[in-house]
Amino acid sequence: MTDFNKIQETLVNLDAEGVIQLVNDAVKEGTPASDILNKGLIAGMDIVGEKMENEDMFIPEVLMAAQTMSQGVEILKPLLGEDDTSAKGSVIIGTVKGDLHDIGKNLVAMMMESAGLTVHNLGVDIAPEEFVKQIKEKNANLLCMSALLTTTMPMMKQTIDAVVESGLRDQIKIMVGGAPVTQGFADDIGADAMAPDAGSAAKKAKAIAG
Amino acid sequence: MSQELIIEQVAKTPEKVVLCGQDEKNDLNLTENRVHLGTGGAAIKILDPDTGEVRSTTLKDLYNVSRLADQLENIHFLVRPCIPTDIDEKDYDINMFYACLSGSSKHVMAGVNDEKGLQNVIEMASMIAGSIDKLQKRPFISVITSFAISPLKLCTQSTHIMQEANRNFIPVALSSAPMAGSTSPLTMAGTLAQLHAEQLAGITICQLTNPGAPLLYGGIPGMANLKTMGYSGGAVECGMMNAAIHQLSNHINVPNYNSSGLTDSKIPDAQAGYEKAFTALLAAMGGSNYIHHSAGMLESMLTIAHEQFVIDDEIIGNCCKVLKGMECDAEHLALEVIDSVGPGGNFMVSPPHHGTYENRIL
Amino acid sequence: MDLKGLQGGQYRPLSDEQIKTIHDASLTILEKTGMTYEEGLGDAAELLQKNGAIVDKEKRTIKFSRDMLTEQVAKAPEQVILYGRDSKNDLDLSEDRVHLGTGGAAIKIIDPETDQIRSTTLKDLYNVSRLVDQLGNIHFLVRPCIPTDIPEKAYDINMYYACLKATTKHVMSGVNNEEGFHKVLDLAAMIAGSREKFMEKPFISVITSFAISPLKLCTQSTHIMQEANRNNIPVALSSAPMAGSTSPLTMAGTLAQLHAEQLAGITICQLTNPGAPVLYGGIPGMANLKTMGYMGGAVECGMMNAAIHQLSRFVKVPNYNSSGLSDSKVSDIQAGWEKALTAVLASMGGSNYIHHSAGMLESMLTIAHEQFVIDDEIIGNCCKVLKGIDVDPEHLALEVIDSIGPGGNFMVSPHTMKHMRTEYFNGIGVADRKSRDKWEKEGSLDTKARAKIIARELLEKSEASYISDEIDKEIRKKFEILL
Repeated sequence: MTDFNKIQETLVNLDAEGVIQLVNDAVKEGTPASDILNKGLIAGMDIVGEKMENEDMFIPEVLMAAQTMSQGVEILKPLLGEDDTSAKGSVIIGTVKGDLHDIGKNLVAMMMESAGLTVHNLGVDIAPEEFVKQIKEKNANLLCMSALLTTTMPMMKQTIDAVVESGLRDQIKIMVGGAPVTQGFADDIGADAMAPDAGSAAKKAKAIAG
Repeated sequence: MSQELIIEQVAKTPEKVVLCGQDEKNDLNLTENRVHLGTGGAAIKILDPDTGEVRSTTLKDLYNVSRLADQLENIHFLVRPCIPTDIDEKDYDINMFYACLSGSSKHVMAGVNDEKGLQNVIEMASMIAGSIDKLQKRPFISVITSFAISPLKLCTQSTHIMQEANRNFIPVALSSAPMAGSTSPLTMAGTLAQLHAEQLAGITICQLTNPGAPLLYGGIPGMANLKTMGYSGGAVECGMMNAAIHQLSNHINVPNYNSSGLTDSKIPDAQAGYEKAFTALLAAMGGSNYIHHSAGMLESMLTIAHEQFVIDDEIIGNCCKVLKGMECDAEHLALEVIDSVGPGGNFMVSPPHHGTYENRIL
Repeated sequence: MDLKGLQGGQYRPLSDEQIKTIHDASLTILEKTGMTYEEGLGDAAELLQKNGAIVDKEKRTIKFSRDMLTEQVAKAPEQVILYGRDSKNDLDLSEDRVHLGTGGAAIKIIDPETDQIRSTTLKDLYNVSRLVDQLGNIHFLVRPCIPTDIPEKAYDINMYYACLKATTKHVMSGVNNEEGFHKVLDLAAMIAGSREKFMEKPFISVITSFAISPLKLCTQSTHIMQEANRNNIPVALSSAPMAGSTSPLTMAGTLAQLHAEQLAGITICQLTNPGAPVLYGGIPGMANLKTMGYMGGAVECGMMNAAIHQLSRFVKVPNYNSSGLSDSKVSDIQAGWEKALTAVLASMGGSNYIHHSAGMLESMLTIAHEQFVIDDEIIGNCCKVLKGIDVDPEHLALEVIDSIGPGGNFMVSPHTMKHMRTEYFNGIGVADRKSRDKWEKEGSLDTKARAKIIARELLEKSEASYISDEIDKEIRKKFEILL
């Protein structure tokens, strides 16, 4: 019987080798890959996300946990069925036009992937038209935008306007974030959600698009 | 870039940049270890002076805080402290400079959106000066460009603005602001090494664009809060690193623009007091020529507050008092006074010939 | 992060030339103007006279020769170790090594429950001593308040007892008279196990305000000072002129007079017992000329306290001084900047033993639990400045920069993981670095409120008495312990 708590704990303790060992052991024991993924690795990352939100963990440690998790997923991939891998949510994420900052945004992308979402990371300096085009192509149900500069924040509003104009607004939720972005600003521009950090971004994304 | 190229180009940079005020008494002589402190930032939030609640900044706010900076004498210059979020983005450049220049006769510095914006601002400033010649003779405006995105990447738009300023002999601050632990090595020394490299590269581009163009070394060493990846503007190490970065700019004889006097607190409380005091004092004692972000800000660089401008005026004044030092001439040693008062006496009624109250007290 | 004992000296308000000028001026003051003394100090005057001073017993004046001062001051030890009962709390007072801690004789406290001002009690002294014990950046305990709820004759023994019960850090305080001093030595001997054991590592020391500025010797305090000398107990020679009232208004004049008072005091000590451990105790202060009150928060206090260390260093005697005060009545932004400015200046000056740096408000009149916690953070920051910036290949990280490359990021670099817990100052939760949203969600607490919570948590921890029950019983048999 696989001890999922043990996998979670080992992941939270950043013991990469230990996690790989436990995942391999679980596979040998015949535990379903989807259980190892969901009850072990993803559940472990949920704890990491929570710790991150409460500032009980340094971000570099969170990233290490995420890396460890993806190593575990690599082992499981060949064993996972189509249903297991077609993740629940499809997310488009990018930094808005005129803004070249991507560290926070990449962190959010990584946490969302670790939470089991399919993430399409478009990069930086993304124009409103490009966001719209990608939403269609990827059939996404969550759009995430980031801005670090106070001067590029208005571009979030312009992007939302473009989404509305394209007629896609009903099929997609929109979440915004970045150091200067507040809940009030998100409300003003008509976003569905705002996340102050990567941990809560992943949690909210799962809730509204998962 | 080869070492020869860098050394040759950096040597062309003026050792001294005078940033003028509309009023001559506000001229700033940026050279050697001469220290000036003032406002900075691009805040988008203000603690409303009437309600105390946080709200978005407006053009009127920018004008009002510029009027405060104008009247607070320890604030030496005005870098536009907030963004007018109530106007259209395409109107930013002209209106920000206009609000600052109408609110204060101190030197005004801000970023611009693009080269066209810079040209518009130069045109408006020329109208105020009387002509472009007069403006270039007494440049009471200058620009900031974030030409580099750490680590070691040039930003196209900002580099173009920087070069346009060079061509117009408008002083330009070469802002690059890595955060230790995210966009530069976690260690202070590593952050300084990378940042100095970015500055040397930027200065080289400027001097190749227009030899002798006035510029400010603009390295702003910062720290990431590794729990949130936000900016930790109030950390004491920011003060230490900003003192160190001036040593590096001074080493290559280029006057510098840097940042200190921030706090991570959201309100003017004890934390705001000690964080601002530490970082501003250290940067000032380091000899930094143009320390922006030193007045009016809270929550690192995100929020401004009227009361904070007033408090920071006091903190800046204290920092400068430290630089003034103590005089040890015969008059200040006061041996005759000590002898005439004698053991067991008191100095309260001794004649005022040993320095005035004003002279000693801030 | 142990940050005590780091070398200061980065801030030198006086040039070498100015140090010599002031030192010379001080010698001139003692030679020409001299000192006076209160009635009853004829014995000390005679001791000085025998060793070359010119004493006028009628006028009660003492004039010192330069040679005598130079010769006697040279006998004072260059290094004084102030021991804690736990060796991790030992303090090496020498060169420009910096330590900061509490101080004062406050008579008011902001009540931790009601937030109202009230008089301090013995229990308060014990509680704040417990706080000091647990706050890692407060390096020593000078008793911060007076137990106004007990009779004055019970002060000496009870103050030391309350402090020693609550902490293993070095304890320093004043005493009322020589008898009180000996009682305190007996108490310390009982705690150490024997007088001999105590003298191996004396974990208490005394402060005497031997001089009343300008230039007057106080009989009672000078006698206590000499008694400490005879017993080889380290003694801080406190003199604290206020520029504008008890010393010249100018900073240089205040320093010159104060240095003179110190040279005279050290001379008396070394004549009393050559080689006796002393701390140069000049505390330059300023009068608020509008009220004649003490202005502890003025930035010039920090500047002058840095300068006075330069003068003590010049005569090679470790020093005791004062910084980190505020004139504010509450833990507000003024308290923040005044404490930061004065404490960091005195630290960067290299002061060996900076008292008054924790817990005080309203200059030296009031203490508050939250202020001890906030000042622990401020002191930590000061010491971090002294720690400086490491520039070895490991910290320069050239290989890391090259491997990350232009446009990359350093978050997942092993280099970041390796240094993230040690390169930057980490406090105990006084500073808020959260987002505004999160800060608001947690109640929009200001620094004072956060510090109050931390103080409460520290005091709620189970009390660890540092005096065993057995010895405690004996102590209580011998002395009237009121705690």
